[in-house]
Amino acid sequence: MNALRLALAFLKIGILSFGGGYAGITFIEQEIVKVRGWMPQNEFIRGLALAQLAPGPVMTNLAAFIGYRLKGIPGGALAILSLLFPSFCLVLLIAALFGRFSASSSFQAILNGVTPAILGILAAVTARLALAHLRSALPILLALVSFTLIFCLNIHSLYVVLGSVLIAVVLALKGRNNTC
Amino acid sequence: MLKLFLVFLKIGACFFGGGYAAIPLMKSEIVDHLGWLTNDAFLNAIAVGQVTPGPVAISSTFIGYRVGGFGGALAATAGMFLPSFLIMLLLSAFYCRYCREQDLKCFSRVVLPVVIGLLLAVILELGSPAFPSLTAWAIGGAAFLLTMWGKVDFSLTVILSGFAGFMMFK
Repeated sequence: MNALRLALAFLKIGILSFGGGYAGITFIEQEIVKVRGWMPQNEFIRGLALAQLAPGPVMTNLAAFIGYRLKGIPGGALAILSLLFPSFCLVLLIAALFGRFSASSSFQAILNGVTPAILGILAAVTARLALAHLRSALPILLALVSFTLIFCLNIHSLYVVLGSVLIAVVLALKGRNNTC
Repeated sequence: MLKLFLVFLKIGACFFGGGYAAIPLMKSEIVDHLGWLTNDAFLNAIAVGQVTPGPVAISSTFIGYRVGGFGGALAATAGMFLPSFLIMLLLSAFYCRYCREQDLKCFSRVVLPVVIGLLLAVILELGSPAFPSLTAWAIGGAAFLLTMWGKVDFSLTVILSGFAGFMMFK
């Protein structure tokens, strides 16, 4: 496997991974582990765990991990750049078109349809996350506290996230021998 | 331009728990704190991130372009993805020698609920002006159902809603 084939694999993933998130992760697993056999399943799972731990989108983190394991630091950079390149170009194109068409009433009508749909999608994503992760008292309490801090007290969300990361690190260090 | 890069560097270093966690942080910084975009323009940026392949965080490219043209788009994208790339390289290099399964569980039990709370707040903040009519509620509800139980791809849902908007509001 050479650098060109690595770049082509992630370009393909970047072009075809619509929907992002978990759909994208499944697609990467399909391409890298199953079709190309560049990495055994257990190493991929390990990488996925790291990708969820680091900040940033899980997909690009996973690409960086795979690229790094296969071709070192340049491989990691190549994988993430190839993954982002197609959507970067597409977003630029749409952004340029936005400027040209923003005055047209048809375009405004389309946006008036898209805006509520985006909120519907976000609500569904949040509901799915909540169903999967809010299954006991502590997580429910944490979600309520973070909601109150942001929505009622207008605390900057950066501080809330960093606070939660700090709590997680402290709990992980303290609870070495029992569950957190 | 440098400001754009630094703002997104800050966001990129701080969003944990997957791509969606970036949305509340971007909204806090770009809309509430800096006032670079209105609620509506911000929602457009999220829509563009949804309809294109790749991670939703690519919305940063769109925001960068709206604020600072092509250079702004480059600066914002670089800032957004650079911190996670560097941290990921570090983690991969050490192969997380000292982490255990349990620590990861601990992390997701604390950080993910907080992210869920943030997302809920951001939906309510962005949502109140976005539903001016019954039609808008119908489109939003349909998108919710399609994503929640229909297992329909996000980009297809966005395209369908654009079509619905064209038919209803034109």
